[in-house]
Formats: sequence, C-alpha cells, structure tokens
Amino acid sequence: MALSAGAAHERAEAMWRPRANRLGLWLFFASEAFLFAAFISARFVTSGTDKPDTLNQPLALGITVVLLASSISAYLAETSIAHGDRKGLIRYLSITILLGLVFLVGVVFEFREAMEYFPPGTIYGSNFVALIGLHGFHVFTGIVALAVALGLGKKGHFEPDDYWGVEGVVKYWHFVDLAWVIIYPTLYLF
Amino acid sequence: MRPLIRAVVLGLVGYVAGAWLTVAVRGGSPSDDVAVVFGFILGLIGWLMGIGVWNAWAREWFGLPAKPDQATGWKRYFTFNTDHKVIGIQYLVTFIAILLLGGAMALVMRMELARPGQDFLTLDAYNKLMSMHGILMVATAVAGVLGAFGNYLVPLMIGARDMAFPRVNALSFWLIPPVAIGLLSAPLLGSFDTGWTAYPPLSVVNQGGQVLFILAVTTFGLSSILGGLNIVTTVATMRAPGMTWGRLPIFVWGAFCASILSLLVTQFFAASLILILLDRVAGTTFFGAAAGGDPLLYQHMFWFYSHPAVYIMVLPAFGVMLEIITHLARKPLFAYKAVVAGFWGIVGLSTIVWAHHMFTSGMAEQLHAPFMALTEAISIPTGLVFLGALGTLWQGKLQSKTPLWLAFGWLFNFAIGGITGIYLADVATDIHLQDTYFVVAHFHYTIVGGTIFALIAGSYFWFPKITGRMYNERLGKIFAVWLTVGFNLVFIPLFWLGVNGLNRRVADYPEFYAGPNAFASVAAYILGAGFLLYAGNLLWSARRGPAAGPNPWNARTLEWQLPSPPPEHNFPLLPEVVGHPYDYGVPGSVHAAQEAAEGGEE
Amino acid sequence: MTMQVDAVGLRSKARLGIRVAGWLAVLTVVEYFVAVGLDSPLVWLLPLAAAKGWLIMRYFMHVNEVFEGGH
Ligand SMILES: [Cu+2]
Repeated sequence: MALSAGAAHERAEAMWRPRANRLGLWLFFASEAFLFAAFISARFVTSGTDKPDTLNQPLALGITVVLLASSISAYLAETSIAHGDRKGLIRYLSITILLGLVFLVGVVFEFREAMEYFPPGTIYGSNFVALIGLHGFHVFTGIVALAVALGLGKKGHFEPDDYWGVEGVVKYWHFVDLAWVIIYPTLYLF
Repeated sequence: MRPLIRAVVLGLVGYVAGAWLTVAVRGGSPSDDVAVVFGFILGLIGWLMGIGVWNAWAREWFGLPAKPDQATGWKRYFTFNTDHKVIGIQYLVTFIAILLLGGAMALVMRMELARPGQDFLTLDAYNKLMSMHGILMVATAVAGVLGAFGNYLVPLMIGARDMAFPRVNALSFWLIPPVAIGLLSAPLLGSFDTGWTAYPPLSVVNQGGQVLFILAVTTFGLSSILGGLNIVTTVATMRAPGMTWGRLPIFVWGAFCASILSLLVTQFFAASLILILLDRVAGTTFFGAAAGGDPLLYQHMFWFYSHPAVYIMVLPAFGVMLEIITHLARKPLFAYKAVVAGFWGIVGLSTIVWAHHMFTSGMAEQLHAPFMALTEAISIPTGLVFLGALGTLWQGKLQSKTPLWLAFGWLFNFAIGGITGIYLADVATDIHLQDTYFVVAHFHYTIVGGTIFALIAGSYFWFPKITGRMYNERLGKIFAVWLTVGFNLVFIPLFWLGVNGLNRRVADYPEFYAGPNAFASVAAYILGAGFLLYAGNLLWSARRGPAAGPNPWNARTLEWQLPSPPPEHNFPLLPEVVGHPYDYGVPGSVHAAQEAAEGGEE
Repeated sequence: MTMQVDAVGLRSKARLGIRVAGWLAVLTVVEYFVAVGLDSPLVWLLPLAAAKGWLIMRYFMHVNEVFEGGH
C-alpha cells in the first residue's frame, strides 16, 4: 500500500462518484415525480375524468410524437459520445433542441387556442394552465440544459469515459418526455 | 464580505428589474402580485449569482474555469463555501438567530394575551404577528437540526470527506437568506394573516404579503429538497469501508429517514402554494368553489406535506437525543434495530395520516375512521424509539452533563406531546379540541419539546467538536433546568385553556380565561430570559472556554476520533470501520481501526 | 488527440434505441385510438402509459444502472 493519501482519495472518489451522480439525479426525478403527481391529482380531484370536446386532439398527438422523436435523438446524442463520435453528439443534440422548440411552439399554439374554449376561470381550464405550464417550464429548462451541453460539446468537452454532463442532461430530457407520457393522457385522453 | 455585498446588490437589481419589466409590459403597479413574482424570481437569481453560484459553478456551463472563493477564517461563512462543516455552522447560527427572533415575536404575543381586552395589538396585527412567528418557527424546526447537524455530522459520522454534492449543499444554504428576507419584508406589502398554513380562500384574496410568503416558502422547499437529496446520496454512496447499514450511527439514520421524506413530500407544499399563486395571478380557480374549485384540495395537498414535516423535524431530533443518551449513559444503544425499524415505520405511516388535521373541515365522513386509526398506529414506531431511549438509560453509567439533563427534559416533553396527540387523532375529542389552545399546546410540546430541545442539546453536545472549546457546564445545567421548567410552565396552562374552549389565533378572550393566560405570559418571559443565559454561555465559551480536546465525552463515533474542530476534508485517510459504534463496555470491541491514519502518508 | 469512434458499438446501440422508439410510437397511436374510440378508456390507458413509461426508463434512462456500480 504505497499509495499516497491524495491518490487513494482520488481512487475512492472514482468508485463512488458515478454512482452518487446517478443516484442523486434519480432522487431528483423521484422528487419531481411528486410535484407532477400533486398537479395531476389536483386535476382528478377537481374535475374527475371530465374533459372538454374542444381539445385539439390531432395537434396534441402531433406534439406528442415530436417530443417522442426528440427523446430518440437525445438517446442517439448520448450513445454517440459514449462511442467517441463527437460529430454525432453535436448533430443529435442540435436536432433534440430543435424538436424541443417545435414542441414548445406547438404547446403555445395549442394553449392560446385552448384558452378561448375553456379559459382559466373554468376548473378544467385551471388544470390545463397548471399542467401545461408546469410541463412547459420543464421543457424550457431542458432546452437550456441541452444548449449548455451542446456548447460544451462544441468546445471539445466530454470523452467516451467522461460524459456525465451529457448523460445527466439527456436523462433530464427523457424525464421531461416521461412526464408528458403521463400528462398527455391526463389532459387529453381520459 | 465582497460576495455578500455583490449578492445583495445583484439581488436588489434583479428584484427591481423584474418588477419594473412586469409593469412595463402589462402596466399596473410594482406592488401587484405579478410584479412581485417576477421581481422575486429575478432577485433570487441575482442573489445566487452574486454570492458565488456564477463564480464557483455556472462559469463551467460556458466552458470557463470555475473560480471558487478562496476566503479563509471567519470570512468563509459569508461566501459560497462548499465545506460541509462550514455549511453546518452557517445553518446552526442562522436558525438559532431565527429561533430567537421567532421567540421574541412570541413574547410580544404573550404580552398582548397577558390579560383580556385588546391592549396594543389589533386583531389583525396579532394575526399577522402570529403568522410570522409560525412560519419562522416551522422553518427553524424543519431545517435547524437537519441543516445544522445533518450537514456537520453526517459526513464525519460515516467517514466521508464531504457531502456527495458540495456545491448543491452550499446552494441549499444560500437559498435560506432570500427566504428570510422575503418573509420579513412581507409587512411592506401588508403582511400575511393566514397562519403558516395559508388556507384558501383567505390566502387567495388577502394582501400582497401573502405572495411573498408563497415565494419565500417555495424557495425554502427547494432548499429542503436539495438538502435531503444530498444527505440521502451521501449516506447511500459514501460510507467508509466497513460502515455497513447495520453499523450506521443512529443520528445518521434519523437524518437519512427525514431526508427521504423531505426530498419527496416537500413538493406537495410547493405545489399547493403554486396553485394558490396561480389563483392569484393567472386567473385560475382551483380554490374558488363558485367555478367548480375545491378549497379542501388545498388542505389535502398541504397536509400531505405538513404532517410528514413533523417527522422531518423530529426524526433527526430523535437521532440527536439517542446519540447523546447512548454516549453519556455509557451503554450500547438499546434495541438499535428496533429503533431503526421505528424510524422506517414512521417514514411509511407519516404519509398516510394527513387528514387527521381535517376532521372538522367537511371532508367525506368515511375518511374519519381510517385516518384516526392510521394516526394512532404511529404511536407504535414512535414507542420503539422511546423504548430505545429508556432502555439505554436503564442502569446506565449516567454522566451528569448538560446534554443529558436536556435529554431528560426532552423525554418528559415528548411523552406529553405524544399522549396529548391521541386526543387530537381521536375524531370525537378532536371535534371539541380543533383550533383551540389544546392544539397549540400539543404541537409546541412535540416541536419545541421534541425538536428545539434537540437543537439546543445538540448545540451543547457537539459544541466542543465544532469550536474546539468547552462550554460552562454549571451555566449549561442551570439553563437545562430553566428551559425545561419554564417551557412546561408556559404550555401546561394552555391545555386547560383549550379543553375549556379558548380558540387560538384570536388576540382577545373573555375574563374567564384570564388566570391561566396571565400565568403563561409571565412564564413565557421567564423562559425567554433564560435564552440570554444560553446565548451568553455559548458565545463566551466559543472564544474563551477551555480547550476541549478531540474527545471530551470519550465517545466512540468517528467525529470524536478527529481533532476539534476537524480539519478540512476531515480524514487524512479513510477510516476502516470494523464494529458497531455504541458497544460501550463490550470487551474488545472497536468501532474503527485507526492504524490506517499512520501507515499511508508519504 | 482525437477520439476513436467505435462505429460497430454505436450502430448496434442506435438500432436498439430506434427499435424502442418504434414501440413507443406504436403504443402512442394505440393510445390515441383507444381514447377516441372507447367511452371510458381509463382501464386501457393506464397500462399503456405504464408500458411507455417503463420503456423510457429502462432503455432511454437506464434506470437499472442506479442499482449497479460503474458503466
Ligand atoms: Cu399531523
């Protein structure tokens, strides 16, 4: 054991750091899940499974597919850097951001239309505002985080054995998609 | 001090910019709810960037090297310092200051209540003062023990060099000052008069100070969540070799279980407040019954957090008290496994009992019986914790020290708090006692008697570790008696008042209630005066007390095996844990092997 | 120093992701028609949403890695 104290600590940290990062992020998701659960339960407590007929179903399906597609590109971005393909990382992160923006534009469009049929002063409108707002805020922060990762990737950060920044941001993006997987039926389908 | 000044300036600039931009876009006044919301958000960002989030952290997001603050000595405490011990002390000092401030407010309330009639506070002013007292003290109870001792002790006790996410940890603390500023400046916007519970419909229609309450408390929630996340991750991934779950010091268990609750359920408080905010600023109608909303929805969401919050307050306090009891009774912690099981039982049960606060709210009657039964079931795991405390004291070699004296006071208080809780969990008696001084007395027995006593006892017990000096034992014991007796003299009369129907949250009362009220007021001033002794002893001893040495209690947990105060990054070499931490008097038992500290240095 | 691109590994992982995404798309479309076609679709939608959520957590977010060490 001729290891110096500093080297020993570095080796120990290399052991627990990846686990701590992942666990911390998942705990954050668990916490966020409670936030979403609170909003979703408000919807069912106040309006049961009622929903207005005036919801724009085709548009909602469209933006759902767009967000789903952005999850694939995010997956491909992470997979690229994990296998040493920086160009792929940059390409797929850009596509993900673009799809995220398309989703946001679609949501804003849908939101403005919806507010004419069921304004926030109605109970369904209240839930619509809260859930779309909460999820939209997460999409927005996700896009900002993806843009930060893209900027760093372009500057030459991240390596196949060191890409926690990309992994974390991409996981967050998948989480935003996952939240929509629940919110979409909550608002549009039940 | 430069980061602090920068933070204040950027915070103010952010607030003004946010409020002004809102007015520029939509007109109206800068004191409108919406303008306050955007002002607070930008102000918060400005504050955080100024204090060091930009320099120590956010620069990396743009590919720039981070420039963490290099301050040393006392200046560290005013910077974005990531050392868990610095953060623990920041929490401890901040929340003891808030405790004293909230206590001073209580003294003003007791002055008004000393005799019948309105003496110097209007009914409205009294309610606002009571609300401020309530939220400050709830914040102290939630983050005091967990923030101070959780941060300071958890890495030391498990043999780690810091928390898993040191910068997140610093962020958790530096979110607190904007919370305090937001709450304390609420009177500028008419304050808030809803108590700390902020029930709608009142909280939707009252003054703008309520918006500051909502924003500050939501920010506080974020701080709790991040703090909890950090503690859970640290305990799960950074325990020293040999520190198995079965060897975890009991305080670490308490902090861990409280952190799991804090991490998850706090979101429901945030969510319920955000819905109120939406009702105020976005025109939604969640709590407006006329348009199909439901005020009870708020109570369900609020108590889904706020009942477990009691256990976020008290689980770390259990940990503190059991540490003190086992070290100072010089015996193995009795029924360690049962106590840990009790902690887990509390975590599980605490999330399914919330509606015991709502028996008179008009919720569905068929919910009464299950919530009553589940609530009363919590006495089983809590009883296990008590069993551990009593069994450890039984036939122990009790060391007559201040923390142990306080532990006896704590046992007495918490027993009263627990037993009176049964009357409030029971539907029939609760309907009579709801919203009376009985409730006030009960929760002060659990929260002050349980958690604040632990905060104070812990601040004595770990004082030598934190400062390297010893407090004055004689003054400490005088205060322990003063606090325990004074506290009981204040709150026992309130049970009588409550049983006899005196409602809380009212500044005035009929002549019938005069005697016990006058008694409680006088006792409150005696209790309050005792805190001068507390603060004086600790402040003086921190500078002039005799050197304490590394292990004045001859205790076995890891923090006592280090110098006082411990050096930066705690352990020169990671300790190797080989046995249980509390095997006092067990022949040949060892908690941690020390020879590693000698062998590895080059 | 330039990175070595592991093209074979990349292609197989990418194919897996696209296959999962295909399943997600199918489930979404099924979900949509169930909702439009049935009167009280709740019992059908819950398992569909759960299946989608599981696919995302398992294959995109690698939830199993939390319970293992290393990569
Ligand atoms: Cu409760």
